[in-house]
Amino acid sequence: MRCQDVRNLLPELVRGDLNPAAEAMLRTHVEDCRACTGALAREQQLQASLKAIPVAVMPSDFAARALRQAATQGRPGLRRLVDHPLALAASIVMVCGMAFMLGRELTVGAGLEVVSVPLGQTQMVALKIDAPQAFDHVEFEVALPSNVVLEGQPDLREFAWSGQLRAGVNVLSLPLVGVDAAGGQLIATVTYGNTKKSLRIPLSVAVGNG
Amino acid sequence: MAAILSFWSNSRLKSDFEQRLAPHIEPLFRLACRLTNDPLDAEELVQEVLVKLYPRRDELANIEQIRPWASRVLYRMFIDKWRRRKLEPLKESELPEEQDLDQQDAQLSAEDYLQLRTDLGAVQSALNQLSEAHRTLILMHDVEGYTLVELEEILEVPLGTLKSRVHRARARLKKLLLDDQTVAEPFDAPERVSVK
Ligand SMILES: [Zn+2]
Repeated sequence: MRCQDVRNLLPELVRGDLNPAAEAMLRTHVEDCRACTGALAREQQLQASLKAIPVAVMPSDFAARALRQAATQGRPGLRRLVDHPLALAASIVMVCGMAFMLGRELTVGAGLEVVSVPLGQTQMVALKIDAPQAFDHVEFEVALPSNVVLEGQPDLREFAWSGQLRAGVNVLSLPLVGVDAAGGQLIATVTYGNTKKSLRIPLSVAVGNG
Repeated sequence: MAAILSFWSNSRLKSDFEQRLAPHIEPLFRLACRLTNDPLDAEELVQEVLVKLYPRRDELANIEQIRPWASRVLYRMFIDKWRRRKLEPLKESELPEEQDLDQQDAQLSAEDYLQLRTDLGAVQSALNQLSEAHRTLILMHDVEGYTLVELEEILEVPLGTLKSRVHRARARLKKLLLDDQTVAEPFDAPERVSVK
């Protein structure tokens, strides 16, 4: 091999991009050639410097934030419902839920009326969340009891997402299908910073419309 | 007016989307930083890419190599929208430059090679003097470590063309790193603002 041909391939040699035969041939030449040994050392330094060019560190919360943001913006269902909030009103069972205010942890459960979901049919259940002010970056969590499933998502027992609460009345609506004639409790949790509020809604499933 | 939060229908797909893309956000962010040279712009660019990818999450489920696939979307977005919107100065097309740099010119003598400056500051400054096309290639291939096969997909340039471009970009970089610095990029100045 000519020295010039060897030098042309030094970047690939340093990167490890050559096939084994070519690499062996090059290394054999470099071992016996002072000029090429020196050039290889330079090439290694050059590539080390290239690799060391600094780049900004990604903020630790960016990935989760950006992924959630993309999912929220990309949800056609959300826009559709926000545009036509009354379209579903007739079939909704409204649960007067919680008032979300900053402060200590709170679980609302006692005194809530039992919501009845028909077996094998969809019942839209809406939870009202009253917010005195708008909150960004709110975490929502819902855990379903074993007697119901989400329409179209039979395996989804617990789900969480991030969103915002607007000032005023917010409604979280869930299309529930009764699957087991039994009682149970749906748990909805809203978290903002250190404030965490849970809502325990008793659900009963009955054959026929209860 | 009541705001209705209705999230169930995409909950499961969303978590697939998040799970599959999460490991690639950091490399995408790095690439965006390299391209935009500004971490805030990089965040914005990556965010736009994710918004664009979200409706394609069914397609995403069948893709084996997510990083080059998403990088290609990011690169295209950077070229098509981002850079145009920000009215960044565009340098002349690389083609005249490539013609200008013939094979003989691209080769370094053994003496040249030993004169090469390789300290970080010199390398950074030489990289900044390269044409945008050459700089992007070096940043993606040598700095960020994308393979030529990945770059073929990301940049939509045939492998053979890529190989010769990488060769030319490196040769140009090395010329700039020679101590005497007599060789400058022929089309570096004047820069033009391209308004398309
Ligand atoms: Zn030699």
